[in-house]
Amino acid sequence: MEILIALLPVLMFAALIIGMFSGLPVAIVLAGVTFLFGAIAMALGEMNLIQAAILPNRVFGGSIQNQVLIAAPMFIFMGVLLEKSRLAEDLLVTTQKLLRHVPGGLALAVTVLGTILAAATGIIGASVVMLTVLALPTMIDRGYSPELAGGTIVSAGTLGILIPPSVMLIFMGDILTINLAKLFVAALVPGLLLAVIYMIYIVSRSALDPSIAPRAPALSVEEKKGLWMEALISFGSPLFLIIVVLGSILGGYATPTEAAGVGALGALLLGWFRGRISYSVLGDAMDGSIRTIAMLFFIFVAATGFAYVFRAVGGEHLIVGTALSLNMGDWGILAVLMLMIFALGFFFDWIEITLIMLPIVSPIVGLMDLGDHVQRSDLIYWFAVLMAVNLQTSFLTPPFGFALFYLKGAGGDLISMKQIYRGVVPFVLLQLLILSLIIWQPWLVLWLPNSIY
Amino acid sequence: MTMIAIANFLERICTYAARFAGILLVILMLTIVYDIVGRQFFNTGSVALQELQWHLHGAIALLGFGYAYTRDAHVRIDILHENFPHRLKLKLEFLGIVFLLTPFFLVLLWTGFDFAHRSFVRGEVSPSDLGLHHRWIVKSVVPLSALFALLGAWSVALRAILVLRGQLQLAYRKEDGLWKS
Repeated sequence: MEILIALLPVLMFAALIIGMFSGLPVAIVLAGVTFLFGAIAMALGEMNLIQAAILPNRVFGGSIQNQVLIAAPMFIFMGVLLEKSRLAEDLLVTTQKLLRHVPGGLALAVTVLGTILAAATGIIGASVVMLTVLALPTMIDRGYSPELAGGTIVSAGTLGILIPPSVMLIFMGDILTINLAKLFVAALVPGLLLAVIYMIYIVSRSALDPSIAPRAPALSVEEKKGLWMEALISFGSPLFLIIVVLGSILGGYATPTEAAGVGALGALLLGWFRGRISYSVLGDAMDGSIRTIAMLFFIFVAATGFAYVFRAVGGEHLIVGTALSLNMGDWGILAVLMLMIFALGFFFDWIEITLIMLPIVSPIVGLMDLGDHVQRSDLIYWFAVLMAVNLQTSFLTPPFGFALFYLKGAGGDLISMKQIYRGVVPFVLLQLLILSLIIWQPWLVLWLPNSIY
Repeated sequence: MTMIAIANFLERICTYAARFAGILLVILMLTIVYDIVGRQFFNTGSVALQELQWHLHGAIALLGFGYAYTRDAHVRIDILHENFPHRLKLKLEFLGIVFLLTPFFLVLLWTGFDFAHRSFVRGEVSPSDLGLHHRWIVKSVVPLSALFALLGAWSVALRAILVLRGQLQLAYRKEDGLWKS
C-alpha cells in the first residue's frame, strides 16, 4: 500500500500520456484520469471530500477571475477577424507585389505575413493550414521549388507562437505567474531575430539559385499605378494596427488586456472601412473565435483539476525531489528540461505542453540558479523564451514535427513528405543557431525588457 | 422523442450558449475600450468596469465547451487515432464520453452548483466597495460550463450510436456554423 501511494503520481502521469494517444479529445482524457486518481486517492485516504469540493474555486480562480487571461480571447478575436475579413490575404498579395524585384519575394511575403499576423497565427494547426492554403498553390504555380515553399510556410506558420501577442505567451505568463507585458517584450527580440534570419536565408538562397525561386512576372501598368495606394492600405493598415498594439504594451501605456481590446476593435474597424465586415463575416469571426477559445479553456479547466489532484498525491514533491536527487547541477537540469520539451513537441501541441506539463515542471524552474550567467529574477523570463523557441524548433523537426503534417494535410498533392523534410532542414538549423545564441548570450532576451521595466 | 431529436435538442442548447459567448466577445471588446477612454480622458474608469471585464471573459471562455464538442473542435493527439477503423473511433468516443468526461464534469456540476448557490444565499458581493454586486451570477458560469460540456458531449455520444447503427452519416457537425438554425 505504501508503495502504491508513493507511485500514485507516476501512475497518474503515465495514465495521462497513454490515454492521450487514444485520440480522444485531450481535455476528456485529463478529466477521466483526474477523476480516477482523485477517487483512488480518496479511497487510500490521501485526499478527502472537502478537497474535492474546492475544485470549483480552483476553476473560478484560474480561468474566470484572472486579469491576465482576458487578453487571450481578445487577441484570438482580433486574429480571426483579420483572417475572416480577408485582410490577411490582401497583406500577402500586396507584400509579394512590393517585393517582386527581390529574389524569393513571394517566400519573403509569407514570412512577413507570419510575423505581422502572429496573433492570428497563435494556434499552430490553424496558422500553418491558413498559410498553406493562401500561399502554397501560388508559389508552386510561379515555379518555386516545393522544398523552399514548404520550409517557408511551416517556419512562418510556427513563428506566431513566439512573436507577441502570442496566445501561448499569455498562458505561459499566467502559469509561471510572471509579468505578461515583460514576457512579451522578452520574446520580441528573439522572434524578430528569427524572422530576419529566415529572410536572409531565403534571399541569399534564391539569389544563388534562381531556379528555385523565379522572379515574379512584371506588373501591368494598371497594377503599378495603384500599387502605392494599395500598399498603404493593405500592408500599412494591419502593420499600423500591430505596431499600435505592441507599441502600447512596450511603452507601458497599456496592459496586454487593454491592448488586446483595442486591437480587436482596430481589426473590426479596418475591415469595416474596407467594406469587408458584414453580419455574416462578424458571425463567422465569433464562431471561429469561440471554437478556439473553448478548445483552449476546456483543456485549461481539466488541467486545473489534474494539477490539483497530481499535487495532492505528491506529484510536485516527487518531481522536485527527483530533480534535486539527480545531482546534475542547474545546467544539467536545464538541459534535461529542454530535451524533454523538445521531445514532447513531437507529439503534443504547445497547448498540452504549456497547460499540462509546464505547471508540473515549473517548481523546478523556480529552484534553478545559474549564477552570473542569468540573474535569478530574470531567469524565469529567459527560460520561458528558451522554451518557446525550443518548442517551435520541435514542431519543425523531421520526422515527427507536427507542423509538417499540417502542411502535408493542407497541401495535398502539391508537395510530398520528402520535399517537406528536405525543405525544412535549413530552417531547423537556423532555429538551433538562434536557440544556442540566446542560451549563450541571455542579454539578447533580457536587455530590452530590463531597459523598459 | 427519438434519439436524433434528443441529440439535436442538446446541441441546440449548446449552440445558444455559444452564441451568447460570441456576442459577449464584442461586448467585452467595447467594455475594455470604454474603460480606457473613460479613464484617460473623462476620469470615469471604475472598479466595477474592471470587474465586469473578467466576468465577461469567464463567460466567453467557459460557455462554449459543449458547442465546440459538437463541432469536433477539441484537440486530439491523432498520430495513432487517424489509422483506427471508423467504427472503433466511434466506439472509443462513446466510451470516452461515458467513462472519462461524464464523471469529472458531474462532479464539477455538482460542486459548482453548490459553489454558486452558497454565493447566492449569502448575497456575496465584490470585496471592493465599488465593485459589482451579485457575484453568484459569474460564479454560476462554473456549473454551467460543466452542464454544457455534458450536454454537448452527450449529443455527440447519441450521434455516435446512430452512426454505428447506420442511421446517420456523421457524429460531428463540423461544417455547421454558429448561426445556422
